[in-house]
Amino acid sequence: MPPFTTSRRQLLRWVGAASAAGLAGCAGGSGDGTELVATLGADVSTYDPTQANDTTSRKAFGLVYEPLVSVDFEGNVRPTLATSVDQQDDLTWRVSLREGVTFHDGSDLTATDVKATFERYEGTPRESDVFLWYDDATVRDDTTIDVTLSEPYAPFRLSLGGVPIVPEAVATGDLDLSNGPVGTGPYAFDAHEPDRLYRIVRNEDHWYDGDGVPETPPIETVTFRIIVEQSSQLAALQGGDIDLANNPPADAVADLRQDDAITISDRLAGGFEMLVFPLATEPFSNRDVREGVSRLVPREEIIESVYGGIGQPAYAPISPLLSDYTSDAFLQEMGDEHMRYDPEQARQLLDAGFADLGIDPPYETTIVTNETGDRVRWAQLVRDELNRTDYFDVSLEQFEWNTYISRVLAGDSHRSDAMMALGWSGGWDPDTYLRNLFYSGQATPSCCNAAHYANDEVDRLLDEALTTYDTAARRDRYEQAQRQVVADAPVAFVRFGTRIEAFRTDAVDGFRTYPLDSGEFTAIYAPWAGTYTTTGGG
Amino acid sequence: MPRNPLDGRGRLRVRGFGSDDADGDAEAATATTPTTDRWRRAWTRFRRDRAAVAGLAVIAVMALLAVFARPIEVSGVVVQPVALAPYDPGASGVAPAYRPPSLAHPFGTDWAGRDVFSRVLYGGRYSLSVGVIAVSLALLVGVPLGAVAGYVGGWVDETIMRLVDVLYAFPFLVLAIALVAVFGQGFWKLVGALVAVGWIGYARLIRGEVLGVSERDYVLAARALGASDRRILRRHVVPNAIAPVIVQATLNVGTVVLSAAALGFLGLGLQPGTAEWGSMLSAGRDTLVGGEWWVTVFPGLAVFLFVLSINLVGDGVRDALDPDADTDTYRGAR
Amino acid sequence: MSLRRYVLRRTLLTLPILLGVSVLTFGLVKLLPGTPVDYVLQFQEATPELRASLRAQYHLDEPLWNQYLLWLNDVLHLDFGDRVVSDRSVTAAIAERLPETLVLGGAAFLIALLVGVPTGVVAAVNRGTLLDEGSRVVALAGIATPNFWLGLLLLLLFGVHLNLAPVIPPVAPLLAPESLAFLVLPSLTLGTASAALFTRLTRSAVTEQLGREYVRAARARGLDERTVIVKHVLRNSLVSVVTVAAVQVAFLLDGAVVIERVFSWPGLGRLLVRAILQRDFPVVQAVVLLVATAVVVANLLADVLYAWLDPRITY
Repeated sequence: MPPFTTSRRQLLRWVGAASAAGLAGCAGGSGDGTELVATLGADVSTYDPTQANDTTSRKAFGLVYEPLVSVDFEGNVRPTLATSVDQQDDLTWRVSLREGVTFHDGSDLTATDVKATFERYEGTPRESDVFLWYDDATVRDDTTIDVTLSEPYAPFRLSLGGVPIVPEAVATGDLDLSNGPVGTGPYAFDAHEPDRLYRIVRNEDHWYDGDGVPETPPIETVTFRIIVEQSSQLAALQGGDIDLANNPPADAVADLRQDDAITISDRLAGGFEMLVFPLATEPFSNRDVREGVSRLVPREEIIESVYGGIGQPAYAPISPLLSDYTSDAFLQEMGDEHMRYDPEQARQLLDAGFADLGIDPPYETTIVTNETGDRVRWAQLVRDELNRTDYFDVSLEQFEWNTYISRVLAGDSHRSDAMMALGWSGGWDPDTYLRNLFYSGQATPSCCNAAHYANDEVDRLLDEALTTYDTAARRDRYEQAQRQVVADAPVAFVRFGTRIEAFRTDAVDGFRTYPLDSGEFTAIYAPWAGTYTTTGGG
Repeated sequence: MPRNPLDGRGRLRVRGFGSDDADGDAEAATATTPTTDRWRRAWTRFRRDRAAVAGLAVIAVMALLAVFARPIEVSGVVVQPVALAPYDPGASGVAPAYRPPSLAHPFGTDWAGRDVFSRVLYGGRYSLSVGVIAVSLALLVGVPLGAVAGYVGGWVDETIMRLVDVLYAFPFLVLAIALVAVFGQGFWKLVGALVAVGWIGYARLIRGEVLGVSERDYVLAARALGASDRRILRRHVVPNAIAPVIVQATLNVGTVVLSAAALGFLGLGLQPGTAEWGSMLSAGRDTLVGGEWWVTVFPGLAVFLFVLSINLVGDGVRDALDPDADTDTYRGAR
Repeated sequence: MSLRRYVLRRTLLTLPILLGVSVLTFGLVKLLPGTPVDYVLQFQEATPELRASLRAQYHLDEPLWNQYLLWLNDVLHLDFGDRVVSDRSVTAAIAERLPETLVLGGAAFLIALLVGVPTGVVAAVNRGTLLDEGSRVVALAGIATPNFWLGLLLLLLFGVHLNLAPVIPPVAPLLAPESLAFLVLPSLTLGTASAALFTRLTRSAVTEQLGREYVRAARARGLDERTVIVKHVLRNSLVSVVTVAAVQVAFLLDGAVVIERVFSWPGLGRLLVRAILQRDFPVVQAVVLLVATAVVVANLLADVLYAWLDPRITY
């Protein structure tokens, strides 16, 4: 398996591109030899979607594979490899495939590829991407496939957006993805020098032939430099060695905004930071204590000091990104009723709670966090705030990532004597903000309900909301579920996340920030979303 | 192993063995306080080294600043009431964040609005104590083991040295990362990790020196006169072998501080927000690019000054313990 | 015993040492909380069956000694296994990065030697003068700076403000001129501490030797100063220097870990740290063994040199 640059292949592509593009002129900026140098904050670990649990790998092959449908920047589902996805009945959906699509290895896309893609998820780390809803698939002909669900599944279409289609040959063993990803996407894999760079090259045979967006991606080569150290990333951006930096630290953003050569692009993301309470341990078993602590989280100060003023406080789990399922008014209401920073009321609540439990303050406890800069900082501010009262004596424990998740996701996380600072990433569907965290069956170690919160009502609402296709009914249930969760306060929500990119103004044109981390580079070429990026020239 | 001490050596001068002690104890023969004499002479030599004295002065000042930075309480009793640092090093929000140096805040403020000046003053406590404690403990473990190994030889030497070899071959950082990950973060755990890694250097070094010193004339002479092994080790071998170890140890005080900073750089330092210089350096390193230079430059200068001074002192110590060209070449019992 | 027997005995001893290192590594990684399965499945819904099958894949449910022996058996067949969290084999992962670290470490070591030893000699010979004190302070200043800080400062100065050098390694073969040019800054940063150390060591050792009787004897015999220093003093001083120089091999890797991160240099240091944090046991074992072998061999050479240079020491 050759991991090094295949320079001869590169040369051939350039020659090919040169002869083709020589006729195209400057329309849409499809100049020859255009290159975008972006960054990845970690090395790409795998090219196989069934194995990739790290967002870096998913970002890296995001332009190489394509799913049946894609989700655009506003959360709308757009046809990609499928021209239509129609519901036949509660459990059956009919997918019509686009014709004339080929994989990078030359084979044609047919329905058998789709079925093989689904079925090979079984027994892999990303099994739940598919098998949460998938039961069976029937290939009706080359371009039609019927997917049968095990239960009605409201987010079906959105979920399809997270399943990249691979050739059938992968499932039969004739094609080994560990040599490189092979998909249908606008870019094909070119090279991966571990810890150094990851490169993809324009796919000249991409199927797109609509209008408004150039037929082939304007940028010929996208090279991702792997730069782990954030300061080095920023230095490289300022020095002109890279064109696009991902996730600059909030401190730097204010300074970068003042630099004309650099543009900052930010967007509210799908996710939030929270403080999780171990519900089986006193005093956190008492609801008043929990609400008291929530009311001591200095959200505005955190946003100001830690995040440079970017982002908004979180008072409920569903991100404002999902404008159909939450609203600013709702968030304010939740804040007022249960969570907003209010030291006075916090004191009263803590007083009542400690009295109820018969515990004498101050109570000694810890906050567990990992080494992520932002999280460490907001945890410090929370600690300081709690220590200013007479009720707590809090210290901070920082662990490296693996130790941290082994504690946070351990089966007895709800019995630990520590609050846990945690970040959560959701998706485009409201279920992704609630189920894994607040459903009783998702208690650690099954998944991520570290508090072991169990409320039958919430369970019922979530189940119903998941299995009904009626948007109004879902909205209603999620609102009720949120109200219940916020009132019970198993966690204190802190802030909704944002995604930020910084790029060189003269080198990048048309780039937009995608709200979900795994889709960071979507804007480079997403014809189904009407978006594409050029290198600023032509 | 015994060799003729007169082989190829030139004139052998024996001094100080004029007593008629019945048991021929070499110790009694050298009872004219030669060792205190030696240390006093060493101090005189040390004083002549201007750079070393300057270093010592700086360390002393830093130690004083660290002690008097904030009040010290021992079981509720205020032992030291002076607070040179104007603000509580851990108090966030005493000023707007990221303010450049000014009269009110000579070193500016950091991301949480904490006064950097106070933190740098207070941080001396951590650096000084981590450095001194970790090195002292490592010496306590390493020197006896290494000296015994070098002097006794045989299977004792083999065993100890094999253990040292195994630990030596292990990359320090791996060991430190693993230990910190297993036992968590915190002052004593950090010290423990540094000691577990640090003692092997001293053991190895002193063993090498002891091997050389053991062949020296005065040792052979002492042995011929019937002095016990333990006495020989303590009085003759170790004091003459210890010089490079002391140099190494003083150098290592600085290295330990730097290692703590490196561990912090990798995300394994002391409790977050601790006003320790190395932690401040790694926590604030993104600001270098951003232009808020005061957040890292002042702690960085503090580390730099501290380690430089310690090393100057170490060099001075080395020169002081070393025989000069203008005194006897004979470094035996004086 | 003779030198030859000594060398043979020490060489044979390297095997148990390496075995000891591998047992220690195994123990440490297993002591660490968290398993690679936790890492792979983090924040995901996973059925108990999936968890069980993954655990079986990594032999996590077998008794510890059995896990170790399975690994040892593979190694004896020269199979270092597959990386737990990635597609590549361990051997490939190491082979891709070893040359980078070697070049970086080699350059740093060379700088340290070429700068440190002559400076130390000059300082010792001119002992007590301003030249001596000045060079000492400069050398010590080199050690005193935290290397990641120095690296970042250099990077900023030359990469951003002066725009003289790239901030990230150029896309070129390892030994191409651009790559070697890029290496100047990181190897300077990495080599500074060692250079300073060599300066001080050489100075100490030479000073000590200059006080010895044989030097006076040689001078009395009428030899000129240079011969005295180069032929006699230097050879004897090298004993101490050599002992510590061998040590530097191990410390070079530790420094490399940090430098590789700051300068985005794709070496072994980064691979190792990441592997530990991911509990990627086969990688950790392989890299540690590699480093350990290098250190052990270096120490062996040092001891042999030590014995050869100092005829007073017999074994």
